[in-house]
Amino acid sequence: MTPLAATLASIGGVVVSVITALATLSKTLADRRHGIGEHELATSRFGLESMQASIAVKDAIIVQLREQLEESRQEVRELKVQIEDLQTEVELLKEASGRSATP
Amino acid sequence: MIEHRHVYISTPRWAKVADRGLRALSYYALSFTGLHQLVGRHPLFEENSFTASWTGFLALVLLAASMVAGTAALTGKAQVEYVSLPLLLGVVGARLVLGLSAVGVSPVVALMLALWFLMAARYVWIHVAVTRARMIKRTAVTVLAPEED
Repeated sequence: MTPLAATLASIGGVVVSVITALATLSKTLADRRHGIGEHELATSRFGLESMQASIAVKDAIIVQLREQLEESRQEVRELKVQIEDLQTEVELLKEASGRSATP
Repeated sequence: MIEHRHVYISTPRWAKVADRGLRALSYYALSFTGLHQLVGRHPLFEENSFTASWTGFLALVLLAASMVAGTAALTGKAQVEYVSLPLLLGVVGARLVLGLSAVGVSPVVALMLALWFLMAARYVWIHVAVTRARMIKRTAVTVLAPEED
């Protein structure tokens, strides 16, 4: 490789690295504005695991609550049927008592 | 057999100190290389040429960037290290190309290549940590504490 070619290649490499460094700088500044600092970086590994655990617990709670909701709906349906039966029974009893009251 | 995957073992203090110290030492070794090229009497190319001036400029940038990265590593500022590493990787890569062109494979070039790979690994490590931290922040905002409609 001639010195000129090596110089041109190295200039290209440095230009690319400067652009990358500026992009990284702007992203890091944006991160710091959004509250991602040194501490968040240092604890990100355990933070991610605890976050995944929290999300798993949240999903489990949602599934459990959905099952309870379905059970409650089923109970409500059964109670409605019981109420309708009781209302029918009450009406029959009223009719029967009205018939027996007439001479 | 004990499952170690979810066992959180905190790193001992001496390991953290050794990690920071050794990394800072590597960066300061690089800055010493830059300083040596600036003030040394061993020019790679003939003097008063553009290539020689460019090599001198690279040595200056190498000195500055590795000093910043070394101080950041020593004080535990990973974000500063994260910003300075791309520049350092580019400058060391450029210096490697020039060194290979001038003298071919030499012990110094081989050592710089090894340091380049170590710095690339460190950059990937910090980048993964940054990505995880961003994901945590995003998840905390959108999933765990969603805004009320």
